[in-house]
Amino acid sequence: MRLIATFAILMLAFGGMAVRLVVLQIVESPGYALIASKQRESTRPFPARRGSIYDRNGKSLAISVDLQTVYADPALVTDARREARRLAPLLGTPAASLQRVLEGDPQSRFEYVARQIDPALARRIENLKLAGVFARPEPKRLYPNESVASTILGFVGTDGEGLSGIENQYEGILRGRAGFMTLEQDPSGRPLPQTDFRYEPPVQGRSLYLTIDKDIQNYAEMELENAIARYDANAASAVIMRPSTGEILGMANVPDFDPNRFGDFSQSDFRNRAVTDVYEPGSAYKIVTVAGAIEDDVVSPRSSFVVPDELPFEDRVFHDSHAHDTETMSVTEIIEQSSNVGTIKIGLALGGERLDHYVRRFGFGSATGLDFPGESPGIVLDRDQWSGVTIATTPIGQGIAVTTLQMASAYAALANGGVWVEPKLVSATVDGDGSLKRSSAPATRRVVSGRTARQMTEMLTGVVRRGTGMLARVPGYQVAGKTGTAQKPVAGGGYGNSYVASFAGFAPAADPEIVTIVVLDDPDPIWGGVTAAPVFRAISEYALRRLGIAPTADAQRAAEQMQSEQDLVPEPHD
Amino acid sequence: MASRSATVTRPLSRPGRASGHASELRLGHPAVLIAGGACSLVVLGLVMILSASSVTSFANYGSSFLFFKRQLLWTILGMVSFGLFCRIDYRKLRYAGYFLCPITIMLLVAVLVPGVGVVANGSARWLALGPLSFQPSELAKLAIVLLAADVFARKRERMLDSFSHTMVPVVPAILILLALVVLQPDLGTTVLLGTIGMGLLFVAGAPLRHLTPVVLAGVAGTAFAALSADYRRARVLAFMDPWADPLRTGYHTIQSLIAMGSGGWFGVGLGASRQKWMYIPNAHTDFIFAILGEEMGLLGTGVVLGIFCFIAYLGIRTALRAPDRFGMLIASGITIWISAQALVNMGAVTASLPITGVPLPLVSFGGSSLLVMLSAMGILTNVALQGERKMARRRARAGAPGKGRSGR
Repeated sequence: MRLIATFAILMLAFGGMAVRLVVLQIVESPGYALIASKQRESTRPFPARRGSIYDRNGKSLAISVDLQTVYADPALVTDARREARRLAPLLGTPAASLQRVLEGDPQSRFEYVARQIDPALARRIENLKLAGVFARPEPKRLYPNESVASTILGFVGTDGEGLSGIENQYEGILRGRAGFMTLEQDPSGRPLPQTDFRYEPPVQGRSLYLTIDKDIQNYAEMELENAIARYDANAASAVIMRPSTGEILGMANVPDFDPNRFGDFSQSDFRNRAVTDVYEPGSAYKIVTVAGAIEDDVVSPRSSFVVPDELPFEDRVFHDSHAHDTETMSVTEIIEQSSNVGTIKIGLALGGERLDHYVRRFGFGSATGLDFPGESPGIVLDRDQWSGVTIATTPIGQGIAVTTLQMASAYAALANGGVWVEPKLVSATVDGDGSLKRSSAPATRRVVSGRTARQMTEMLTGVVRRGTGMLARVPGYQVAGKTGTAQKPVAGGGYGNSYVASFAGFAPAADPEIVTIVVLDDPDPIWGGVTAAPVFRAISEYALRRLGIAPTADAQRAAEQMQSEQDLVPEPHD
Repeated sequence: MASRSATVTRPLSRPGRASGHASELRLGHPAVLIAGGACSLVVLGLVMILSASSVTSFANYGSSFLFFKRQLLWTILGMVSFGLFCRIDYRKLRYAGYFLCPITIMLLVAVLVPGVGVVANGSARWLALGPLSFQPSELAKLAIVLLAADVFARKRERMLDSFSHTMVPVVPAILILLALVVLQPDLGTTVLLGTIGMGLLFVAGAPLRHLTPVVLAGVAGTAFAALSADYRRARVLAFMDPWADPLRTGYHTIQSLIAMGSGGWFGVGLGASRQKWMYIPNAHTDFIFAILGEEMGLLGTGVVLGIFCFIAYLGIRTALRAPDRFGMLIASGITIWISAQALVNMGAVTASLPITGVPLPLVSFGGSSLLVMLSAMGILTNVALQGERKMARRRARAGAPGKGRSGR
């Protein structure tokens, strides 16, 4: 009996164990398998190399280098104090702070020890074989030219994402996709043999070729910096572009920053002011009014207007910049002397409806299509918002706000025979297989006829030859251009005592290769013809030489020839 | 008696010549089944030891086969011993307990002497024996079975009515052994020794009024011991809720459960355990069942549990059919021993019982455990063999005309 009872007890116990085994290995199995994989699986990222950014000639503007990041798994660190003391001399970090990192938050399995360090140093650290301390690749973005083109390029944050500029705009192309490897590891982080692992290779980022010419860009930036110093200006922008293709050869802004250490600069230094900031263009804008009036046959370059030096209109009185007697001026003279009163009269003759039409055809009031981060469309009032005075302010570039790039594009339309071309900064992307993929052809639209454009060019040549823009002359090249000097509006309405000075133009006038615009914020003296024109001259001259545009052997004669073709009475030079 | 036993064992030693008992060693013979069950466990154990120890062995000694080879050596020794005890008439072991007990006590004392006993993981359990080490507490199990079986066989069941007859001299002897083992400290083996002792008292027919206080005292003593030492209290708490401190006190249990749980129906494949890669400490000793569960799934654990179950059945059957009371007690003692030890080990691995550090009989790595266990299985086989012979003779007499009744 006792034996049978013993047997029963044993069988009961074995039966219980059998039930326990079924519960554990079948019923609860999925749960434990999950814990098991969570405990053993470790995903190691393989960062994608960010695509490079090159200028039009393949010079590096932004590149990524593979550095190593040292990190710790505090759960695996055996002796934080000893390990910290061994790391300290290599990293040049106090042992005490390293020890805090290695001890870590008890829940954390990942703490940064040192980010983006030299791979050789990382290897020395790995050779110490410290428990729970590992290294893995983490690329870092480098800008070898430091501040050059910084406001175009933008910068990349420590975690590798483009935070502004081209880096931000083309994030999808540049970034690529990080790969990873998921493998099973033992408690000290060594991979287990005979286990499955998943490997997803990184998709490397693709590179970009910009339309920028690094040397032109660099020169323009230097010139702007000099101008700011010379004229005590707040800020300056310049755009150099090819009128026929819309390619931006240079887009300089001062202040700028060094994207390698963007943290040392203020937010406002990051702005690509040429596209993000708007200003009232003043006289440089008069080309819209005059080109529209010529295109609509309201005036011709030789049409004459009686121009006093002031004009009361509605509740305002408009003045020319310099006092003069009431005189009869041709449209050409109005442009050359930059007469406000004359231009207003041309605008009145054109009429509000047609003026608004040409304002928009020249690309004002809407973004250029460059799609640059933070790009402003400018401020152009809709027709139904016009007040009585708007018909008088718009022709002379008041009550309207534009970006530097919009102005450059408008001048490029005249330079390009009346066809507006969408500006662009990216000429090609490099595909995954290494082949170059050119950007699609830019959008274009005819703004005015070729004849109108030619006549405008002729008049703008006069501005430089004998008008307000004589300081913009480039030896050996015929330059067409226009000054601008505009009072800055102040917050709350009205105008203050500071000015935006600008000069926009193109060269060679007969067959324009480059359009250049220089905008200075609050220079002293205030006049665009005095401050912006010389900067324009320097930048244009450099760009023309750099691009290998042959100087006209006798620019003077060429100009005269062009004038006779236009059946204009040649005027004495200067 | 000696001459009779010689004739009984002859068929086993020379089966070919003993034509009269040619059928004795047929496949379904309990002795064959016990031997077969034990051998299956030993072979399975060797396979699992190779798998489970290879990582630790390689990490610590630069060879994956070190533990396996050592165990192989012990297996050969164990098999020789098994064969020997199969042939030796168990009745010759009647006095063995009286020698074995003092020897075991001496060895257990020696273990406690600093410098003599080998200390590992905070307890002194081993005696160094050249390149091998020996664990005297394993011998204590056999000593208790042999001693108690003979003492209770000599006392008539009537005599057990007296409390002092029941207790003396077995219980004091057991208590000395328990005391020495608990000092190592090794609570798991202590509890196991106590269980074997109490099981024998129960089987021998000690009245329940005597047995009850002994069991209660045992339970109380275990509870006191479990809660008196900090590390044991932590183990009990970890048993209650291993997730309270998953990286320290609960670690062992959780890793074991993860191994068992990820096995599923058929396991991750022989040799493919992940948990043996330093996740489970002692993967080849006390937690080999977890690795087996991971690699071979419920199929593997079920087979092992089934074999233990089958051995328990065969053991009790052997006890029921034993030729004499000593044989009955020895068979049930060994059966309770192997079954209880298997259950305590599996209980720890499946988190059904607190972790106590008891190896899985015949499977876990550990030479002395294997050697002593195989010897015990040899003795059990011998009892089964003789029991079957006696039954066969009785059947033969009953079957012979006119002798059916006179045989009684």
